[in-house]
Amino acid sequence: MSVSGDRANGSQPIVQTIGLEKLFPVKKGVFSTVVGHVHAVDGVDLSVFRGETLGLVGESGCGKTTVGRTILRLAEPTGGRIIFQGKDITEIPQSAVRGFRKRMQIVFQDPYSSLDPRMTVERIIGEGFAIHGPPKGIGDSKFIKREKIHELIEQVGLSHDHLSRLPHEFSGGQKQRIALARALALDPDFIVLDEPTSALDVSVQAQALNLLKRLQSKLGLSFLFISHDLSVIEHMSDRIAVMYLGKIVELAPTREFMGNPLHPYTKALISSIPIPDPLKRKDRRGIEGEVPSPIDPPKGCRFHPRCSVAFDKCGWEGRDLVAHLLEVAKITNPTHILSNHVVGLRSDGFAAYVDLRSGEDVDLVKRWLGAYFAERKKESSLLDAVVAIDMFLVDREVVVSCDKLSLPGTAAGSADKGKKPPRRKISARKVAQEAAMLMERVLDVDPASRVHNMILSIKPRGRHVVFKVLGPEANLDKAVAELETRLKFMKEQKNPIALAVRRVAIKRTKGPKLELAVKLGAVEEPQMDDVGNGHFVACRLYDK
Amino acid sequence: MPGRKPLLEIVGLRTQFFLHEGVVTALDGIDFTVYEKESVGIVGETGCGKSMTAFSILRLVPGPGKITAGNIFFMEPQDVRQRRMQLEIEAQEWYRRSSLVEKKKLVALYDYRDTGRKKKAKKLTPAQIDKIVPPDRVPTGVTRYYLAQNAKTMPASDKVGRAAALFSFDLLTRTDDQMRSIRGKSISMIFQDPATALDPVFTVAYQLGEVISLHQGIYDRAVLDKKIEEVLKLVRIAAPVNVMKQYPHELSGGMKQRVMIALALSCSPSLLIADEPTTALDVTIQAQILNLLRDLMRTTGSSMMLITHNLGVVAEVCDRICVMYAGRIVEEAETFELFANPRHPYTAGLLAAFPKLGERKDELSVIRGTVPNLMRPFQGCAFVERCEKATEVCGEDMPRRVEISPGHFVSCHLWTGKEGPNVR
Repeated sequence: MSVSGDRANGSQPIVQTIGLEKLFPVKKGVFSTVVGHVHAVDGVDLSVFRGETLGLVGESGCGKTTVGRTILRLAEPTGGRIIFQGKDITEIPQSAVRGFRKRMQIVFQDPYSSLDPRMTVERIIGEGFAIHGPPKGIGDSKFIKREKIHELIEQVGLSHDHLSRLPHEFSGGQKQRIALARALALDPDFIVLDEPTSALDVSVQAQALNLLKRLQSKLGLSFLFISHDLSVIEHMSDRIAVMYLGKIVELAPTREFMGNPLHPYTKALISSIPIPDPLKRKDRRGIEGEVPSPIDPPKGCRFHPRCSVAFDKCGWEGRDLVAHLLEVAKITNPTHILSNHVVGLRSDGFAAYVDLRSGEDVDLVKRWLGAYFAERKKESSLLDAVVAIDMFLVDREVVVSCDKLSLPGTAAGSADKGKKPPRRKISARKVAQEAAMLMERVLDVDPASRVHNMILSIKPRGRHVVFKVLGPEANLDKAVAELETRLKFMKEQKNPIALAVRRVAIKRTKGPKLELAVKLGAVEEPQMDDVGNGHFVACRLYDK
Repeated sequence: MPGRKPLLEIVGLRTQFFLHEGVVTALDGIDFTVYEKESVGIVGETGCGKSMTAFSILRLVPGPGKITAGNIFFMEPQDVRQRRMQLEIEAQEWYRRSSLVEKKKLVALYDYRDTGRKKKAKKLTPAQIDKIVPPDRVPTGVTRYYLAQNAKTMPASDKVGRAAALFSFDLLTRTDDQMRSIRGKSISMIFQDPATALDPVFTVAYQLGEVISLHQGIYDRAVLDKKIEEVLKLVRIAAPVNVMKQYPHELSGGMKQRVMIALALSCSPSLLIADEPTTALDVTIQAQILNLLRDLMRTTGSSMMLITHNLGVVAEVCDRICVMYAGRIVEEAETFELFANPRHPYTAGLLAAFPKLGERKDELSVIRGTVPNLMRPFQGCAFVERCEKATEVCGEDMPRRVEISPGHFVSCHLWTGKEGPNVR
């Protein structure tokens, strides 16, 4: 079998996903309001080429199984595109997906529950023919079907007299062979193997893996091999992709991958695996901590809270800082400045808020924090990521109000040529969301701007965009002025979102309150970078 | 092993399940010893009897299963052990000197389920007794009978002798009440799946507190809480006070397993049995838990019996390894020796079938066939059907356990009669 590191420039991928996304809503309360999303798969780009095995490895809950199921449309993707043999199958109706299922199959993890206990092996293997029609051939269709089933059962190393038996009469390894025969029945081009050997014993696993390899080279199949076991993945795959919390963090041809792992998570994963050789015994410290919740995954690089080589540009957030300060307050004595003057800590995105006991303490705590951050900057990349500390007026915010928008429709939507396409209407709420993203982008690209370090957060709220601003009241005016000039410029350029903005104002809420806020440098998620030899990695360490 | 004190000594342990369809022999004459401050690994595939060994030691064999033969000596003092072995040799001598007719009678009467008690259920006819072929070695039941007779003649002051003759340190002679005070205190166990082993309706503090107050008689809330906090700190839980108040469902898999380990270690047991402690966990968490176990064994000085199917895990943690197949121990050796010189074809096959990281091959070597049905009795070696090197004798005779080099035991006909030079 050839190693397909350079496949990308030659042949067409058989399956390709572009920014594949699958979010599961988290519901709460009597009315099942959606309060958040589980980011199971969050922007995955993969391609599987003809005749190759792409290994997908990751810990439980990282979304590897969901990738496999979403590609087959067994789970509906919430975003991104799936391209199968050059055709986009993301949006086609389920009835049309059936035709594609014939060419892509899946073998599930647990053979004990994926085979119907009331069907004989012959019916299980032949079930595909009942839906997709009998196999091609000349003569009686029943006869051809029987011949085909016999051929299939032999292919997976079982014999004809197994055909009349029921699944419970087989061992785990044999059941997995039956599941494989069923997947092969319709001559697919592409098979998703979802942990096919996890339920099997070592000696049986070796048999199953050999069988898969043999069938692949004989039938020219393409595999997406999903497993948590890196040793098995290495044995089976031509290329390996590592997944962490819904994202691919590294992708490389097997030899390159094993010889030169780049992402810190991959390195930790490889070193965590116990090797069956006592001479190679070592202290496997691996990674500390546990996988964070996929409902609110860490910003920036998702691995940064557990990463041993993280630096200031990895996406440290307010919550990381809060956790750090709590730890500091715990180990120091009760007369410590943190324990004495601080009532509470909270975080929001890239900002942390320090709630003080009384207004006069602001400067004292601010000075202490400033000194502490400066002193420990060298040791802790988290503290290095702090860009500003200042007072924060809780009761004041800059509000940008938006109007609803109606845009001229695109011609592609309508069939009649002469008619004017209907106008596209966008609600004010949607406009506010777009505006928040736009402004974040506009203010972020220019760190030299006067307000860059002042803006703590930009969030849509109903039909408004709300800016939280750091520092004394004068800063709010500065922010308003800056926003107005920028909006004016964009309005001149006929930016539709900017045109929908009605006004910018400072809003006051009830009761004066003062907090201290710390702003950390906002960081985007690292993108997959090509580092040569078909090796891709998503890590700031390898940014060009 | 000279100089080391045995903590747990298992001799000829047999556990059988009496099902409607027939008798399943889950454990078929297991012999092994766990020494003090040692970690022993038990490796094997599904259904080979690894977990059943643990359940037998704790006398927790479920359902229609029964321990039908053997001894499990736990914390036996040296002098009692020596005396017992002496007495066993005497019994063998006595048995050897008996005539064939007497032997037949003894076997018929006393070797019923090896209890040493007279068979009550059926009276055998003389013709049936005549058909019995008495073995060369004295059967356990007959030994028990002989020793019990001996104990009657010993003076009451000879406590060591009586303890030895009555097998007082055999866990199988304990009453249920005595067993209950041993479980969780002297021998404790970590179960495979922490999600089901912890009770979902009680907090962590409650479950830990229950064990500590039962075995150590501490009932004062404040003292108990302090103790619980200590134990949780021992297993490196970062915020023990928070975790104490939580219910199992609020904890992650790794945390649950830590709590399980804390439960098992709360009474500083002499022997910790870990049954697949990391199978349900991810590799990164597995590495953390294995490190924790290894460090804890070093600091607490307990012995550990680690049961797993993962050869990598035992290679990392254990000093000695027993390889099990179909209810028998086929090979036993120090870890380094076993991985360097696997002698039993099954061990060698298992090592070769394991895909190793960084050593990619086109094809993995395979052990052909599948694990045999334990319901039918094996005349010879249980591995014979899957063995590449099997000869005729393998199917007929059960291979003897042979020490081929110091501390390296193999039960295989390829090695019988090839005892190592330095072996007693």
